[in-house]
Amino acid sequence: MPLVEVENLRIDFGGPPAVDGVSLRLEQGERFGIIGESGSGKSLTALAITGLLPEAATASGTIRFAGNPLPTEEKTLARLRGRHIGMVFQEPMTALNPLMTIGAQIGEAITLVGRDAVPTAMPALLAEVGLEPDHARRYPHQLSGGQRQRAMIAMALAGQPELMIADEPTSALDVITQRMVLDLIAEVCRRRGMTLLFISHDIKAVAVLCQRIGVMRQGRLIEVGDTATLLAAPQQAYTERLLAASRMAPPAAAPRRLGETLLRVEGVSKNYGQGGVWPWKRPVLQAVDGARFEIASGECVALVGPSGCGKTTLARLIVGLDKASAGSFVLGATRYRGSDLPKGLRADLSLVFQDPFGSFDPRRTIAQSVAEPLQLVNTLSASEQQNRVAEAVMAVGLEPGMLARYPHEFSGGQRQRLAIARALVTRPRLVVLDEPVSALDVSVRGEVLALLARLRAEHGLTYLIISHDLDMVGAMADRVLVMERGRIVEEGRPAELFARPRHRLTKALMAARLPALG
Amino acid sequence: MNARRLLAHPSLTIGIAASLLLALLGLISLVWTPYPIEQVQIARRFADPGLAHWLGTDHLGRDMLSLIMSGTLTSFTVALLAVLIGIGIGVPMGLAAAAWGGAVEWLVLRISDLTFAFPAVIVAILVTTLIGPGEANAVLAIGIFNIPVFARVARGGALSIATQDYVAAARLAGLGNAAIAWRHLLPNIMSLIIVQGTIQLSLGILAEAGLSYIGLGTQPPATSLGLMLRDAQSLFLIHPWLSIAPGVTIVLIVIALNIAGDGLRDALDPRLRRQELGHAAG
Amino acid sequence: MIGFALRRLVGFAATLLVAAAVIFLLLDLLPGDPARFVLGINASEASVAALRAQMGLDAPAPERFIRWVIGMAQGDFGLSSTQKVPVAGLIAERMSVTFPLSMLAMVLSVVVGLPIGLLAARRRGKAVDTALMALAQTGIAIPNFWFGMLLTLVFAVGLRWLPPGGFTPWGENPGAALRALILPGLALALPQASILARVMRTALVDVAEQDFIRTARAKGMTRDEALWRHGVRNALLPVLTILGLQFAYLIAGTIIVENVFYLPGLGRLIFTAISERDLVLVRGATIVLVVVVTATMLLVDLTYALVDPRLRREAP
Repeated sequence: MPLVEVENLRIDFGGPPAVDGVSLRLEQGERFGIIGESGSGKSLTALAITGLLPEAATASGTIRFAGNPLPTEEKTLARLRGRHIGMVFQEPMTALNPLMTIGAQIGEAITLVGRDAVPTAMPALLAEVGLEPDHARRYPHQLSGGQRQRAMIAMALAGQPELMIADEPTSALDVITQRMVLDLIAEVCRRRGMTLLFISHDIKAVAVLCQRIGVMRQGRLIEVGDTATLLAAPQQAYTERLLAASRMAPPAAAPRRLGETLLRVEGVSKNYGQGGVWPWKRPVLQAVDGARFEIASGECVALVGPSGCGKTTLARLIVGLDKASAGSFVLGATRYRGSDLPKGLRADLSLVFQDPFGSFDPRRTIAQSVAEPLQLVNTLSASEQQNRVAEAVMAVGLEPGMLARYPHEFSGGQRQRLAIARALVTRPRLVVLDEPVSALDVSVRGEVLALLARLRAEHGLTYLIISHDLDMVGAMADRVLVMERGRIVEEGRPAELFARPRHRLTKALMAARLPALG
Repeated sequence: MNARRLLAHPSLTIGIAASLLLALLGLISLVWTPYPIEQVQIARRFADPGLAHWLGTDHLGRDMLSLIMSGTLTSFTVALLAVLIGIGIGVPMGLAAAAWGGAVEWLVLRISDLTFAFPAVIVAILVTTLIGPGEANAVLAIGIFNIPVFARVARGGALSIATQDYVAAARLAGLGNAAIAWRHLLPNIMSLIIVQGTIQLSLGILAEAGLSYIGLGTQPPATSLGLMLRDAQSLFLIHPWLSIAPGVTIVLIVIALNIAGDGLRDALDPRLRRQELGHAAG
Repeated sequence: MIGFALRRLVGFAATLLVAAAVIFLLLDLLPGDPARFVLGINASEASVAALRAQMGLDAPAPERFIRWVIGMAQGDFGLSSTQKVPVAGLIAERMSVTFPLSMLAMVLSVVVGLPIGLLAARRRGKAVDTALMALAQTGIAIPNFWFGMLLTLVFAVGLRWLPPGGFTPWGENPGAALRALILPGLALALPQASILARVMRTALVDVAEQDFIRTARAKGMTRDEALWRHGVRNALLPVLTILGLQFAYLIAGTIIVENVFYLPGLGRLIFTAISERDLVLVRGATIVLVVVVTATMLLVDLTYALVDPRLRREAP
């Protein structure tokens, strides 16, 4: 008897359905993955199975758990959830109550099931997910992202559930932690013989963990099959597109002709004083520590490292948003320390931000926003400015006619293109890109990356890419710099680095990489 | 704000309509009242509401309706001026604190703390001791307390915006702090300011009433709703009507303004509800 | 936590000092000679000069300010110009009415307002919620002193349950003293309770949408259980902030409401002092009010840090 049966599930919020006619079956002990992009309805399906749909949603269809339909009475349903289903969500920071200790929250999960079954004892639970007993006394903000996710998993396991549902459990974590959490989930499911429903947009993660995969698109389950079969021979065109987008091919081996050194980073350090009572006893956070490297004109250099390693700080220093505490940069012939970058040179540097949703002022038209950097080039007349803007927008594949619209009228992918247009409008020499595609849907990423590669070839641009996505880096970069705790610990060509890592961190990063899709 | 949006939020429409109606009542009194408010007719005092005097007369025989109309005008004027003082000084302060940070922010926060320690009543006390009571006194006292309220709202709103990437993009484009505050911060906090403005307006009406009631605000021969309550104080056990009419008027005005404020908040940006909690109700 | 508390205390002291300076400066600007005021118009120049020297009025302003502050720290608020008795004593006597009244109003508003907000949030969107919020909306709009008048009409004159005004000292008859404070307390509590109810409701509704409530439900709690066990605690944070802010209004309201009920509190003392130009009294009473308001905000800040571990910045 299948553990979970969903028949013709339909969910809507009063308008067009967000989930339409989804049917699936989970056998006991099976590991089933659902892949899809934002808006595909995969999370809603999971929430429906547990009865946690938002109040505004209306659902129809049948859902059976262990042969019985889901109870309609709230308390019974809640107790069933706590006892038989464990859920792990995406954002561990907001998913935990900031005012209660981890121990109290996990303890609550244990107590809730204590009446019906024998709960797992707290120390055993903590050990199982790799937490120390000491961690139980801490508050969520005192733990790292990985530790918080471990705590979430502990809470999910408290009642000895038969089913675990993990909804994007690793999206908010960095590469090494991601791998750790995935391994932990796999281990726990194997040891306890639990059924796993794993939901993600990361196909590689799903492929590693799951035996069967379902693909969802715009509320419909368009394809289901064994992992091996699905990956080798997808039946739907959309599935094929998703798989292709995840397999990022490294560029042609022909070396590009590089020019002279464009940017030199010379022993740059940046530290922040952290709040304490006495100014002279304040503990210091060393965000960047003696960074030293060069970027040649025409090159594409990537800066990688775990979260908190200082790569974003360094990027902000380079473009002049902050000031280095020690050391300096040399751009062409000018030496500067960050925010003292002379205005005349600022036009030569541009930054593309990570989040397309926050990088445009919602109250200004796209035309106004894209034209803003032209402040730095005051030799242009008004009509010349307009031409530049139109030129930049066309270069990224969009129509100048769209310029009068507002940011919210564009999709994420389009907005990121516009962000690139804005970065190009001053005809910069060096473009710094901070996680340029991480916030985008998988199918759109490939297009934006292709665009970036094309622009670089056409205009002879130099890129500095900040990222944690090693596959993207492998496909785009000529040279990779690995950062840890503010220091550059290794440097080399991507192929070299990936095949023969030398530093401990690089080795860990490589080990954490998910195997490429077949 | 187009007509469709207005209709989608009934509370907004009702609130604004009611507030405007009451304000209009006050404005009319500038040019016309049923009876001149200075007209004292002892013979006709304590008249019950009737055809000649729709709301009756007070202890001096003055027409209550005229008094209420004129009093409404005073209340609105004082509250509005006080809000303008609050916005005019508080919003730039809050924006400066958010845009410049550092010493400027520290100074603004300290001035805010200091001003919070002086509720309107205390300021009114001090000012009265200095220059005597009056409408100006009330405007000053209420206005001064409005300043840190708007500074907080402006700063809070600007801070949550200042961390957005588009502000960093503006900085990269060479815009200075002042330009960023004007071009990016201010437009995006406008809705917050407007909503808080309606709240402070209603609070100002209540404050003016209180100050006039204890004699620190509007003085005769001018009238205000609070002053009418002061006059009614000694007599209300025998002639309760004298206190009910102005009191009910105050209640109506404040409810109308609050409903308008709530409606504005929902219409302009539902996310504002969260920020309301940081500095609600003054 | 200690660091946080210390910093707040230092800020508190600094604010008080500056506030005292502002009060001192403002009242110093007034024309008129306090010594002559005390002795009367017909006093001789010599005696006025002697009194001035005795009162230390010839010293420069900073010196007088410092002497005033030090005096206050020792409990000496000067002598009332009109009543010729120590100001400290007068204020203390009046505070025995004003302070309990404010406290009573605060307690009443919390005890009534918070549960109403909780109920409205639990039954969000239903008739109960709309009705309660409409009630709260009205409650906010009613001037507290006017409500006091109405209460007097109904309970004192109409039903004769409670006294319409006046006050018997605590020493004489505590029961009567308390009864005298009930109506004014209710009058003050009404708008405060309404505000608290609204804020509580909004805070809870916001918290209900947070992710950790969903986690709590995933663990096996019903919506209500999750809201009660996780939501209320988190919702109390913004409520606490409002409470602190409202206290300033409460104090102001207390002074005004005392007028309605003819209570011998700080308010009437101040108003008499103003009309009689008793500067020493005005100064002393004002600074006391400022201290009370600022101290409350300090308390709220510290409580906030106690409740919210994120503010404490301890090393893990």
